[in-house]
Amino acid sequence: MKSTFKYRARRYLLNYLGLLPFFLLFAVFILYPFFQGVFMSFTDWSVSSRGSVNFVGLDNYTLVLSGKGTTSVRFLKSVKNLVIYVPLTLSIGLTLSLVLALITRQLSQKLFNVFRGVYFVPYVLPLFLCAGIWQWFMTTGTGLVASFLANIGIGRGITWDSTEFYAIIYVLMVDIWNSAGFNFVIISAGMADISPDLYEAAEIDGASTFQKMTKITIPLLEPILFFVVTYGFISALQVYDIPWIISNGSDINSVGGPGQVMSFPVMEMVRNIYLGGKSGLGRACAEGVTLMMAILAVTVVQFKARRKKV
Amino acid sequence: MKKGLCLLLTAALVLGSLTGCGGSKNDSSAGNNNAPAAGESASSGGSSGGGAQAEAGNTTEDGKYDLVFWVYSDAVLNDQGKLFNRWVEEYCEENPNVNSITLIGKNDADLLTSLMAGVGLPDMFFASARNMRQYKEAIDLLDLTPVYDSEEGYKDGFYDSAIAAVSQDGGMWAIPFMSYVPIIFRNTDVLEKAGIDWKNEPLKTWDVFFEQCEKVKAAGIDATHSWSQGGYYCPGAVLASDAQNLTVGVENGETTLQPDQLVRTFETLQKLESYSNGMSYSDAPASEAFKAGELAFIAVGPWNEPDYIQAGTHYDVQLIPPYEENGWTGGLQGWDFMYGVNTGDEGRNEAIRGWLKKMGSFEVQQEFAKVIGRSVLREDAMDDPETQQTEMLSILATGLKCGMNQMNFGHSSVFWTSAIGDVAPAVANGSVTPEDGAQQLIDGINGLYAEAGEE
Repeated sequence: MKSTFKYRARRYLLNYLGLLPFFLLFAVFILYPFFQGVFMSFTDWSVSSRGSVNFVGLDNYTLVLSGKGTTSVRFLKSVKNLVIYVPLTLSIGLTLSLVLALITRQLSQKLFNVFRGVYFVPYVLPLFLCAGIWQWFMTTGTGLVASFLANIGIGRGITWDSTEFYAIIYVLMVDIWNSAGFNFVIISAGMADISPDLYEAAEIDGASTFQKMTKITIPLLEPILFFVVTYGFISALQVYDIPWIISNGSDINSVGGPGQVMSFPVMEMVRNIYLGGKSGLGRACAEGVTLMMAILAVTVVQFKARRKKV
Repeated sequence: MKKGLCLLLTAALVLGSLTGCGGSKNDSSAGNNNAPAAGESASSGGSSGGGAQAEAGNTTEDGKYDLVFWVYSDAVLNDQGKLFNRWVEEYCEENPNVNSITLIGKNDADLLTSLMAGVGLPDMFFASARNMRQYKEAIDLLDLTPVYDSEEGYKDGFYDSAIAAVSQDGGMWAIPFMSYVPIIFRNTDVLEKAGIDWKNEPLKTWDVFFEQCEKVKAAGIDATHSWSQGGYYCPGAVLASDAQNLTVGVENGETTLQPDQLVRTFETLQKLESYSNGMSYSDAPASEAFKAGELAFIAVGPWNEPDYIQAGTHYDVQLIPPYEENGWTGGLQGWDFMYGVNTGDEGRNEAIRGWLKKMGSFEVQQEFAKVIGRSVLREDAMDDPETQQTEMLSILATGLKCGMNQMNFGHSSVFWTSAIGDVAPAVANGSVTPEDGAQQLIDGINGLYAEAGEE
């Protein structure tokens, strides 16, 4: 046993040393903050702690999840918003990207390149710019999109960023506009990898365009779609930038808009940090750990479901 | 060969990482042969509780101090930048022990993040008065009592409420500097079209304001934006115009305000909504509409004035009106302070106090007001006829004597007036009555106090 270990150590020492920088950086920048965050969620850490923190057990979790008090009411409202937002953004966003990819792949390579560029532009724009553009679009009365929607009977007379449910739709529109291009590029790259022989064979067998899409393209895109769905899930659960920019006034309490109609969990974490209240950082960590557990659970379920299917 | 190369690269990476970790301390002491590095002097000072102390500045070989001052990003740009640069030059000339003062643009969020990290703090910082309590709890702030005691009359020049805000626990923890109240800009071209003799019809009361809104509306032009959207700013201003009737305070963790005191505010907000174009005061389209003569009144901060001047808009400025003639105006005041950080090095602390004393002087604050057009927290500077050369400064000086503060600056961390931003939209659109809105506001304020654990 000992000699095997020695033999392995001697033989693979250099290889392990080669991996060392990664593990060092991983430990310092990922593992340490992660465990520190989990530990701090059980303490009364705040900006005024001055280095000394006290263990408070599950108090922060109770406070955040009890439904009593401003912190909890706000956090639970943000979770409720998230539960509406995530399935909508994933289903609509992915369907749109897939449909766009399927359609534009039928076009000539030149035209496809043009569309790919056009769809990808919003993704490379800074988010504050995207949010700013959409704030113009969605201004009551004069906004291009708000006026159009009002003309067809959607959201007539409402203020999009402060009205329940409409505020989530507003975030959804900006997010889909921003991220559809990225998903589109990934999906269309996956489509390019599908062998043309399969389509030729299908054509010889008399398959229609629709049949080729449903029987060849979509099944062969499954690994790509799985990646896009998993990635989309994780980023949707952490939604933050766009609603923060749209709803943030000059004070931290206005984050998420009136009645927290546009609030999401990460925003509430940030609010707890900057509010500077008692146990503020501890509460933020507890919210972070709760969110992380949710992300972990969803990801595990996705992987298990996929394994079963395969 | 490959293995050797791999080993070499690994060693270089590990060494690089380790060197990088310890780099800052070496850097900070570079060039300081005889004098201790700032970080070292800070730790030698030894404050209780391990609070964050200044580490940013250095000390040169000849013992001179290089100070670091975090300021709002505006203060390093354009006219403000020139002004601060000149004051720095003057201060360095007047004080041979100060080599330089480096101004770094930061915002409140950056500052709070740095406080949480507890390292790399500046020697001085310019930040919101709203966070003073958090700063005091998180950092070893420098006691500025010697600054106020150093010269007779120095302290008396500030507004009494500002002095009360910075004074606690037997010390004085900041220099009151900048302030603001909401301002109503009136597009005079629109008013003329609506047949309003604006020169002789100032906004003496809310009733006058509503009469003018009615005339503008009758002329087919939007009167104003929504006063209930966009957070606390506009509804807070309406609330402040009833300040004389409000019993602001906190007892046993609950506000001493009574719901019936707030009903009038919500009724006013409802009425304002009937003249609104639905936009928030902070929406860029609202500002563009005002500049283009499609909106008569816009309630914003005094800092918007240069934008309107640049656009060539014809306007005048008014305070948020009172309910009764010559009554209280809606001067919901926002303040900014300058703070010093205790470095533990008495010589350095003296240099910091000296700079902050200059910032709090009549001359500096008056010049700031005159050049930048923003109000300051020295009452003698604001009331000086030489300061009140512009309509804006004159009106700001009046506004600062009325209304109320956004919160109990310095003594509380609860920005209680912000709770109105949650309730106002629902009252304005009629889904909640003013009476219910008043109760919801009380509940919201109590929620904020409970969350902060303040009594």
